[in-house]
Amino acid sequence: MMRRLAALLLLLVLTACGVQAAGNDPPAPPPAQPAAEVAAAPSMAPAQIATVPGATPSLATATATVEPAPVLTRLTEPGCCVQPMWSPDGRMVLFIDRPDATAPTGIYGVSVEGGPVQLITERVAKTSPDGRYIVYLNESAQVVVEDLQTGEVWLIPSDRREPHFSPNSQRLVWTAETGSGAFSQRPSIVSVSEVNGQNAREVITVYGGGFVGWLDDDRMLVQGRIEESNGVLAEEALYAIDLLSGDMDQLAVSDRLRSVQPAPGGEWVFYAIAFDTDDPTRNGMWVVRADGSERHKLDVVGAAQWQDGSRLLIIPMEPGAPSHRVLRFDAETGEMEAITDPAQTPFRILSGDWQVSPTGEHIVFVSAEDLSLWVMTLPGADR
Amino acid sequence: MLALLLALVAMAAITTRHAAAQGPTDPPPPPEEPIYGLPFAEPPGPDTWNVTQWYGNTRFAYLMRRTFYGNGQGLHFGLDLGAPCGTEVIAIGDGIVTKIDAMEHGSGPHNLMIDHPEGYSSFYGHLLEPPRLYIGQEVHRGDVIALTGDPDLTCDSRPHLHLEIRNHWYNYAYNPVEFIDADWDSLALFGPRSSFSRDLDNPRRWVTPYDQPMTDFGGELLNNYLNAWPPDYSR
Repeated sequence: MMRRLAALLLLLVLTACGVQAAGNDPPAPPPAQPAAEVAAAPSMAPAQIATVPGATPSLATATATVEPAPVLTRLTEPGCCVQPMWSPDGRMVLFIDRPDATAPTGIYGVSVEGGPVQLITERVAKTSPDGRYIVYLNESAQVVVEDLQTGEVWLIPSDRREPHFSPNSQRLVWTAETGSGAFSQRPSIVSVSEVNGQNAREVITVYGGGFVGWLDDDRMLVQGRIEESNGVLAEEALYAIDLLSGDMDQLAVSDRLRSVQPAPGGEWVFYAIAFDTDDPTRNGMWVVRADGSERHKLDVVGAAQWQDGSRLLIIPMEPGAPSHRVLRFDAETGEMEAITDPAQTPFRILSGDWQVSPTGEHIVFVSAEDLSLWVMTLPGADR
Repeated sequence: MLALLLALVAMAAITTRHAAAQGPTDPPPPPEEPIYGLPFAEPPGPDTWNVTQWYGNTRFAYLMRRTFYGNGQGLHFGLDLGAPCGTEVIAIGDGIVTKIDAMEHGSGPHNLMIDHPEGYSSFYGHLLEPPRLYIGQEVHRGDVIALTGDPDLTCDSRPHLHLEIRNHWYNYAYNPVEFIDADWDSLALFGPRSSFSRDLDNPRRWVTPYDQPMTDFGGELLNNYLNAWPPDYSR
């Protein structure tokens, strides 16, 4: 049973991106075993949340408007782990660790409910969303994809660039930056292939950019400057490209585009712009519909991740505040609400290290207070 | 003229004192509490500045460990703060200007070194123009000392300030986060996400902005990992 669990979770590791000097015949995942027993996992359940009448609270003073209040649960011992990830079902927090000198390095996991930390697998690899494939460098430093069901291994013609799986795990994309000089002027070729490396083709050449995300299985986001017909480089922009039709929609324009994140399902896209001196009104955080038909500028700056297909969670940057807090912006309604009240649910995230679960029910973060992993259970995830 | 003479005398006194207090092999330890301020007067934000690359074993430094950062043990030996070209840079502490456009320290097109009486030096790189200061000039915390620029000379490529803290022999670099009084965990919430390279043989080491090693310029690479995470696909 535990062996199956370990194999399943290996298959489901989502966002990591590499492998431990892997060869073509990796050892089978070891049986999961208790690693570091976590002390009692305390929870903080805020007694009551203040409610602010009206739909648009001042972000500087907003208090929570959602009940029940989020619950915080400590999952691990201090100092064990950073860069937490989620199992695709959102029930387990995963992280790379080596608890002590006698323990193996591997992916460890702990239930979102708390409990013992378990070694899931010693194989650290970037895995496809469906868990069937892993990508790594083989012993000859070639990029390969391995089918974990059949054992087949395919060379990927990405010329030693990191490939990214499409949401349905059937395509790969990579960006090959070439040339030298100013980063904003370097040509980058974005290419795609089937998951087995077949049918590789170039999609577009941009300058100072590259692939930044999948909207869905057939549409991708690319950022950079394109060469106009007169040979002049256009201003940097964000494009949605349809791989089937070749259609390209321009979603945003600025030389200072950053932090692009498509929402699950590909209906909305988050991006930020900083230091655009040509048009300072562009500076800030934005949400745009993926066809460019609708756009919102957010009245806040901070770290943002999608909770679901249209709701964005934001940790505002408020230096000096005793606690961080969570806001939620609904792209469909244009409304912002506070999810936590610092007086009721105090927390601080270490250096922006947080992840929203795939189900949108939880946030895991590294606490700046005790360097442990904590989980925040969010209200209103299931609307 | 008198001011220049006095400044030269002051600088010579400081240099002598520091030379007596420390040698190339024994840089002073970092302070127990931050003793300096931020190099910008304005609050952070999309119009002003934000953290773009931490000091230390960053992912980018790991990938560039044999090139950009080869002389710095593979570490990003400063703190990068993105800012529009022309943003005013202020001194992080009281001190004496000791170097202007010292290209042996890199960070062109222009740079500035200030020695502080606590035994440390601050180095400001990728400046827009030569600082309008002179060697030996006394500066005070908060004084405007320079303007930010872009190492690619375009002002739309990667305009930022590269800030280093060194010892007075300039052969060691410290983690500026340990020296500058700021709410770093909140500053980390806007801008590129923090990313450090990990050694899968020792995955807990050097993975946050706070636990980074000092840089011994010319020393051996600290992050030439056999098993890195994420892997270096270009190796």
